[in-house]
Amino acid sequence: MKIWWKKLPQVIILLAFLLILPVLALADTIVSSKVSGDIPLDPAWKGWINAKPVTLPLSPQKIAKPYNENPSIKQITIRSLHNGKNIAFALEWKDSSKDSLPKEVSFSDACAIQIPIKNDPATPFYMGKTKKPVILLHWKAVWGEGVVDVPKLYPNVQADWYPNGDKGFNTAEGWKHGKRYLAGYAADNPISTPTHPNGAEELLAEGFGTLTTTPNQNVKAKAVKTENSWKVVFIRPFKGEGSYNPDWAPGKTTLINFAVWDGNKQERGSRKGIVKEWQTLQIQ
Amino acid sequence: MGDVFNWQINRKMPFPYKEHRPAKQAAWVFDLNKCIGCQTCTMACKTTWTCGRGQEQMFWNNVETKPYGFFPLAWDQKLMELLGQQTWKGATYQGKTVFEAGGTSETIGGFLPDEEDWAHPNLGEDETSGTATAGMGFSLPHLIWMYHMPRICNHCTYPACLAACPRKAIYKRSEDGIVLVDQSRCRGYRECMRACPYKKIFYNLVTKVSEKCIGCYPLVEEGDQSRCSEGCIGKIRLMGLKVNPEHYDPANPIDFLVHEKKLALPLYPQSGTEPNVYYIPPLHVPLAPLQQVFGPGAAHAQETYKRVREGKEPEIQALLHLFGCTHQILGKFQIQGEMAIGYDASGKEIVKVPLREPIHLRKRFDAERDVARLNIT
Repeated sequence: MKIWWKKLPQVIILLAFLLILPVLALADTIVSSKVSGDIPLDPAWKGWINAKPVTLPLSPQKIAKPYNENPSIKQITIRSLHNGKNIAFALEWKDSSKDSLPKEVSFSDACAIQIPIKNDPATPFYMGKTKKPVILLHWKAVWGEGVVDVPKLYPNVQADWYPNGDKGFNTAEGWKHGKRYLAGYAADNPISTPTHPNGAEELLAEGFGTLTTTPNQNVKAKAVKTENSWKVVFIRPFKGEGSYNPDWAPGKTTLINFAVWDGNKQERGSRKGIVKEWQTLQIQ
Repeated sequence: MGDVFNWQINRKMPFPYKEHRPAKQAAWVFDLNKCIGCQTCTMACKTTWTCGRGQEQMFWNNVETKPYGFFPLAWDQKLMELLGQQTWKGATYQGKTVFEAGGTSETIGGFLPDEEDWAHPNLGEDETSGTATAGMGFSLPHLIWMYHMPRICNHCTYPACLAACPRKAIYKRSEDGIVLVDQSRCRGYRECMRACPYKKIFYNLVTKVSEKCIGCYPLVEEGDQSRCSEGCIGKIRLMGLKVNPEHYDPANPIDFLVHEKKLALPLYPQSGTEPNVYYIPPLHVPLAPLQQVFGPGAAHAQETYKRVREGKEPEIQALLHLFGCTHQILGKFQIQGEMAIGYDASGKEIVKVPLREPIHLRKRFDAERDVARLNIT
């Protein structure tokens, strides 16, 4: 008769390992759970309870100068859901100041999601590189503030006259009328439009300094600020109309990364807090 | 970062792009002996370019009184602190340029001014270096002094703003070296604003991108000088197109004053950006503060200007008379006897002025109107 119990320790170890394995895999994996029906663009939606949150630490950006040796935001919590057609992300982080109206030397709070176009781990997680593009879904607090006219920033400003300023500058129509002296707007800079109805921007990059707004925009975002935090929800179809789309779909796994900027600490551009490696997004 | 040669500091220094000079470089000479701080240049520029919404706080051209005026506040004091000890060995700068003052986490040493630093462009205007005390008399240099310093973007050969932009949204035109912010490419990071040692990049509050002096390039393309130069009622300014310092043309007005006679000097050459607005230093100001601002050439420039006043530099005198006499850019100038002649880039004569203003004496009694004249010259 086999003395089966002599092999018992190995069996126990093997069983324990097999049990832990899926847990280990899930520790850094963001699971996008499937829900049925529409996902509203609403950070307060009760449906977010169905998403398992993953909290990731944010690291200094010391890859491309100017560095951010000490990012203001230390961690970010990610949730994701999808309904087969659209995928949604909820990003949440602690920030006690609301920086949504950038003034002379202040910047907007912001966050971004980065996904490689091809699910290739050789794509650098720091903005991709030539022939290894990444897509960015970018939110800025200022894009939720409507038409940002000067009195919104400096209520006591006095000025006597503006050329073509007779329609004012607190409406999109007023900006169109006064376009001659709004150079960024006249140059079709996406940063300079009077309104940002999507609340977010979709961009492509192939390395530092190549960030470009794509001609077709499919992402939308909405944010809510509590006293101590921001919660931002992004929604985008898996296959954006006329867009560059990552290689993602229900049932697939892809790489994903995140960045956050605290406007209060003059964080912008490369001065950001980043998640230091590619994370895994598992779309159920 | 590679190394480029900067003639103003007479040595190589780091810069993120290859050494390159445009065939012609837009450049200006301002005679600080004549600036009265009337701010007409400021109004000319503002009325033309920065009277839009979001541009209220911008002064692409500003005039600040030295020693106690600045726009933005203390910009040059902070630059001096940033660079640390600034010694020269003859014509060679021994200290750090902004490209060497970045420390470990920055490519370029710089700072973002505080919001309120932009709010008081007239602070210190007309303030003198000290107060007059009983018994003070006239001397040269003045015992207490002040001078007006008009400033625009220097359209540097090695712009710190261009070097700082992570998106290459700032470029230097190959036809005339004018430095511009690409309005469609800028995303408002303001790294340029942080890096510019002269603080001549501004942020548009509504378009949320950065803007700067455009060197009036639409006028330059027509062969005309910038609005600020043309508008100057004191005729202190001359805008031109200078060429490569290694083989400059002494008939070119800017080259003549900068390279041949070394009368016009760059502003804070120790910044390392090789600025292209050149100043004739004021005679009434003591040498030490001028050496800090204009470098080791300040003494020679003052001596040269004195010689002009003594009639010993007729060519310089002729050229100074051509300032403010035409809206066109002078490609060449010449002295012919008692006349100063200016030519455009193609060599066509465009202006002729006498070195001495002719005086006509009229009769004391105006017979036609049956009245005595109060003034006869």
